[in-house]
Formats: sequence, structure tokens, C-alpha cells
Amino acid sequence: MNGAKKILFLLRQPPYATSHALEALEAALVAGVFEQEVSVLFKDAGVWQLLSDQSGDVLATRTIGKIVTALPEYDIDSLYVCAESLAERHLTVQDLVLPVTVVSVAAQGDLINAMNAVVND
Amino acid sequence: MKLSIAVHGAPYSSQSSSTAVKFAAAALVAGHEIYRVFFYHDGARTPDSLAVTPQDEKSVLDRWLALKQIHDFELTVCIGAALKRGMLNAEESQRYDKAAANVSAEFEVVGLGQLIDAIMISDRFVTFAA
Repeated sequence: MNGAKKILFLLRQPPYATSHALEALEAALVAGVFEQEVSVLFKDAGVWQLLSDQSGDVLATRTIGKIVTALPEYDIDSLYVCAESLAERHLTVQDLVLPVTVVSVAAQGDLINAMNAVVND
Repeated sequence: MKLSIAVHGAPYSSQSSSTAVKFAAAALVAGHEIYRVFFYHDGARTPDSLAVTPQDEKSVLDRWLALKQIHDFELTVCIGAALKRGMLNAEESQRYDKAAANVSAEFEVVGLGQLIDAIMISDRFVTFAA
């Protein structure tokens, strides 16, 4: 699409404590439908959204990890996770539900600078 | 510069909407244009015309409406976020057979596509998180 914008969704909220993760991911999917150049950065407690071992069933809610795995189906392939946020939680990429690019806090400035817009959760 | 704004915090329990309306007013005074304000997450409760504000406080909804009356920009609320939180305009109230409608008539109830459109059209997009 002509005039597509580079949009970064910055997801920092845990998957189930509030509705923020679910609604932010829904917005990212719609950006994908609109054929924008969408990136997603999982950071802080938002890295829990990526955990492969999760289920919303016991909470009678949708499984956030399943929505995350739908992102590439909407041509959203630029997925990033904060290295320090993973390490602080003793997580590695092996714990995650899909392949994501690990970026340090130091490198995230350049990532954000390259965007036309950042959508917080 | 053409700006759009997203408001994610609840109108009373969060400072988000209040800060956003101050930002919008300052931007307009500085000569910028507001293309669209999009209320999402708990921000979708902002247009609740049934809310009663204490006498010694200012209603953030009234502040948005006053600013819109002067400068005429789009006030929009996400339909999905709104319905889940009991925020319905007359049309949706009728559709779901509910007893009341509470979304201020100055707000358009729209899909998430209008958020993405706002980002596409605007020079800058500013989020006021919860």
C-alpha cells in the first residue's frame, strides 16, 4: 500500500492481569489488515505474553499466546523482545511461543527512532 | 502539524484523559491541527453521559466537548472496547436490546480501523496510556 507507515506496538503489560494485552494485540492485528509495516516489541511484564506454556482456559478468557502466534498470519513478522526483560524473569527464547528477535535496551532507541508511530498499550 | 491522539485511561480513576485534553488544547493554541482523538481500552468510558462529577471537580467529558465545540475535531470511541464496558450509543442500545444509551452524541462509535487510519493520516500520533 502506498504511504504505509511503520508502526510499533510497545507491549509492556502482563497477559492476564488486565485487558491491555488483549486489546493492544487486537489493534496490532487491525494494523496488519490495513497493510501497515507493523512491528511489535514485548518489554517489561509484556514478555509474559510470549510464554509458550500458558492457557486462558482456567481464567475463562482467550489465550494471549494464541493471539501472538496469529501475528505472522497478518503479515506482522517484525517481532522483538527486550533482552533485559527476559533475563530479569529468568526466561530464554526457548520459553517463547514463536521466534522473536531479541534486542537490548541500548538497541531499542534505534528501533523506535525508525518508526513513524509508536502505540503504547 | 496534523496530530491524532489515543486515550487509554479511564476518565475518573486515571489522569490519562485529563492530560490528553490539556495536551490537545495546548497543541491547538500552538497552531497544530487535531485530526482525531481515539478512545480505547478504559478510555472508552470517557464519553459516559451518565457519569456525575462532584461539584468541586471538572468533568473530563465536558472538557473534551468544550474543546471540540471551539476547534471541531473528531472524537471517536472504539466500538469493541465500548460495548464490553457498557458504553452504548442509541443505535447499539437498540441493537442489543439494552435499557439505556450513554455515549455522548458528540462521539462517533467506530471500529479499530479508525485508529489505524488516524495514524496513517496524521504527522504525529500520541498515546496517553492508562
